Parts: sequence; C-alpha cells; structure tokens
Amino acid sequence: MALLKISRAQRAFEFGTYTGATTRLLLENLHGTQNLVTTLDLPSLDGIEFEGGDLRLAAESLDGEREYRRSAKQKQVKQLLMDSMTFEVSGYEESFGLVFVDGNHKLEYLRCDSDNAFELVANDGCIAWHDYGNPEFPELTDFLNDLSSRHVLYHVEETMLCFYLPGRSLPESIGRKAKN
Amino acid sequence: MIAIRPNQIFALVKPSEDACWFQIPTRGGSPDIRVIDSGGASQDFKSTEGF
Repeated sequence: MALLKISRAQRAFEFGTYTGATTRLLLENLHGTQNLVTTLDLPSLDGIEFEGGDLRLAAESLDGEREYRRSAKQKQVKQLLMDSMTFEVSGYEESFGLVFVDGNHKLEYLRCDSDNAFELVANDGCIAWHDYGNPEFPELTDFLNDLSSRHVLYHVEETMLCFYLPGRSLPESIGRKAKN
Repeated sequence: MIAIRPNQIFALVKPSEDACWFQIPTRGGSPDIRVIDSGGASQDFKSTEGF
C-alpha cells in the first residue's frame, strides 16, 4: 500500500483476482468515485495450463465468494473474467497508477501479463510483481532478474514483491544492488 | 535488481500517510496481511480481518 501512495494511484489493475483479498486491499485504500480497481481472473479452468500449485488455487477462487464483494465499495470493482492471454489493453493504456501482476505463473503468462502491465501503467505509476524468489516459481524469479537488466526493478527484502517505477527511480541512498 | 528494506519504502510516504497496509507473501498460511507503520511496528491479520 505504500507503493500505492508513492505512485499516487487513483486506479489499480490486478492480474489474478484469486480470493479477492488483495483486490479489497487496493479498493479500501483508493479514493475515487468509480472503477477504482479492475481485476482479471479466469472464468473456468478449461484448457489452461498451470505452474506449481496454481491449479488448486485457481479452482478455489472459482468456488468461493471473493473478498472484495464484502466491501461497501464493491461496485467500484470491475471484474474481468477471461484468460489473460486474450486480454486486449486497447482503451486501458496508461490508465492505472498501480498494476499488480499475480496471475498465472507459467512463463508465457508472466511474459504476456508483464508486457500488458507496461502498457497499462500510468507514466507516474508503479508495476508490482508477486512471488519473486518463491521457490515454487523459479522461472518467475529468472524472468524478473532478466527484466531488471533492462529496467530498474526493486525487490522489497523479506517479501516476494518486486516493483518498477516507470520513468523514475528511488534516491540512490535507498537500496543496494542485489546478487541475482 | 535493487534490494530495499521495507522500511525504506515507508520512509518515502508522507507522515500524514504513514499508516500503510503491506501484504506479505503467504500461500495458505498465516498471516495473510501484515500492517507496518512507518516506525516499523507490525501487526498481522488474516485476510478477512482488519478491514
């Protein structure tokens, strides 16, 4: 949520709704009047390949009521139900102060969602990825390490969060170069 | 990749905004969410609590 404040986000986009807890976290911390959070998840598991324990988690998310629906602000959530590989960013470009990438962790999905995140994020926004360093998804960590050779990416230590601030970076006094 | 400490992020948030939610990575474990203030104090919540 600190990233949400640093980026002064008015709206957020989330790849991977899952239980909707993060969706609600974003929702309760954004201040606006409409379409605060756009969140994308699968409508079904048919034909989808998963990495690690994602199949079980995806199945759970289909069965349960999503947390954000408990919020008085639930109408300010736009739920997209589709395979993110088919998501078209047209009309959403540079629209979101925060884009959170935490959908399907297979590499092809990660690449696609990340490419889309770079188009979705506002010029002064923030892209955040979950599961960096998670031993369940080594390809994700490799992907983000590789991405960090082209963009300034930050890893919040003791967490699995990485983030990118388009067009700007944090003061040099903050952080240290990590061994990838 | 640049490694930063969580409190270094919170230090960038204005004092008036210093009560921050911070989600920590858990998968089916506990807690789901950790709230850390700018002084570094933290409190853990399950995802259905604390909203």
